[in-house]
This record gives sequence, structure tokens and C-alpha cells, in this order.
Amino acid sequence: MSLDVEAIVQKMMSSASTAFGEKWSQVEDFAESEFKALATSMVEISRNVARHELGQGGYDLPTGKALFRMHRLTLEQAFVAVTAMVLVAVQSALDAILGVLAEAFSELVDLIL
Amino acid sequence: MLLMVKSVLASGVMLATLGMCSSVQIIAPYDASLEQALSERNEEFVELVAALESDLSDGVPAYAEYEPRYIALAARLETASTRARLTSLGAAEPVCALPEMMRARLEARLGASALRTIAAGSTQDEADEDTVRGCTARLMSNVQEQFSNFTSMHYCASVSRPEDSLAQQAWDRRCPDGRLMLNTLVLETASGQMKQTLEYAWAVELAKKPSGEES
Repeated sequence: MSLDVEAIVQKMMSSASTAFGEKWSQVEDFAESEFKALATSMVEISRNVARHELGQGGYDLPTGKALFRMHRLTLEQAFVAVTAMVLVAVQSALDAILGVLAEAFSELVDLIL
Repeated sequence: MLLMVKSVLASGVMLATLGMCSSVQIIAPYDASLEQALSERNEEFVELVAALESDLSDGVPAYAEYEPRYIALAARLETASTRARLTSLGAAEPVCALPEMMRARLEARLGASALRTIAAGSTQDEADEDTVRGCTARLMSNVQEQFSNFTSMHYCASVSRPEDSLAQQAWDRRCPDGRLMLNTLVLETASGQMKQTLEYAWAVELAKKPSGEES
């Protein structure tokens, strides 16, 4: 499966209702745009790490991992900000969603996830 | 002080929710000083990033050179965050689930594409401390964490892992991914998140301004 934003977003949305459980209705309205932002970030980071390995700019893997963690933190905070969910519940749901992504997109496993 | 806070809260804006629940929300009142402070912090951060970007042409600038500016901005962000918490103290603002009317004003200000979507209409009755914190206060808390991460990116790119074992532990806590790179691409990505959240916090505060007073 190719590493493109739409495919990642679809995979996230399909696993999110299970991951968020009864809280999904609070999150669903804005989840897609947030997931799209995270997926875009994932693809960009992956590409930049690959570019660096080829000596074509970008940045190295540790930097890519740090940037991804920052983006994930922003996403967690956004979910907490617009819902009454506690951070640990949001983190748990995102862990589950990213776990599904890791199974579907092996390229991400070796890189940032 | 308590009386003053209660007085401020009593004048809080009441807005009918236009969403599913049709209930009434009491949101934290508009705070002109806070709005101005957020605008100024945003400008300061943009200037800081621009200075860092300029210095990057000669390699990664020493973290120590920037640390005083980081500490100063962190202190001013803390002041704004504290003010946002006090302003929203006791207002049953249901997190950032703002009424439709405010969302429309936010979109007009920032543009729909730049705006992080806000769930509108839903209300939370939970009275825990986290729920009653206002939207601006929550966003400012996020900004502070993002700023901490931003400064850590610079630190981990500039400061080598020390030889001393105690100092190593501190370095490892701040740099869990090890030594990082800092170039314009990294800087743009690392600063973008905070800029967006800070601008968003400002726009949320501005959206509370009573109609007819907006400049």
C-alpha cells in the first residue's frame, strides 16, 4: 500500500470509532481534519528522512521522530481541548489508531512510529 | 481579589447555544488586556523564529545565546496563561466547544482553511476543574508545552551529550531522541504548531469581544 495522505486518513478514521468508543461522537466532527494534518505530517517527515539518507537535504531520523512527537502532542491537546476527555484516554485511543497504521503501512514502522 | 473575580464573572457573556442541545452557555468574559498580550506574544515568537532562522545560515546558533530570550518569553507566556485561567475561573465554559456564533466569527477572522475546527453546540455538565477552564486558558497551556518542545529542539541540536553521568540523565530526559538537527526545514515545522495554537488562542479571545466593538 502506498504511503499517501488520503490512505492514512481513511485508515485512521476507520479505526477511530473503535478506539474512541462512546466518546467518538464528541470527536468525529473535527477528527478528520486533525487526522489529515497528522497524516500530512507523517508523509512529510518520512520523505524528509528519506531525502536525508540520500544526501538530498531533509533531516535525520531522530529529528523526524522528535517532530512527529511534537505533532502528536498537538493532536492530543486538540482532542482534549474540544472534548471533556482526559489526556490519558486520548493517548490510549491514539496509541490504538497508530498501532493500526503501523500494521497497514510498514514504511512508517521503520521510520517515525 | 475574590470579590473582583466574582464581579468580573457576573458580567460574563451569556450566549445561547445554537447547536443540538439548545442550552445556555456562560463563557469566560472578553479580556482586552489578554487579547493584546496574546497578540504581542505571537509577534515576539515570530521575531524569535526569524532571528534563529537568520542565524542558521552560519550553522546552529549556540543555545546559550538564545536561552535568555527563551526564558523571558516563557515567563510572559506564563503570565498570559495565568491571566486566562483567572479570567475563566468559575465560568462554565465547556472546554472549547464554543457556540456557533463564536465559531463563525473565528472563521471570519482566521479563514476556514487555517482554522482548527471547533466542535460547536455540545455542552458538558461535568464540573471538574479541567472542564471549567476556559478555552483560551486551555490553548495557552498547549502553547506553553509547545514552546518548551520548540526550545528543546534547539537545545538538543546545539548542546552535546555531557560526559558527567548526572548531567547525562538530565540531557537524556530533554533529548529522548538523541542529538537533533536544526535547519530551516526543521525550524519551520517545529515553530509552525506553536504559531498556529498561539494565533488560535488570540482569535478565540477576540471572538469573545462583544459585537460592535471589533476593530
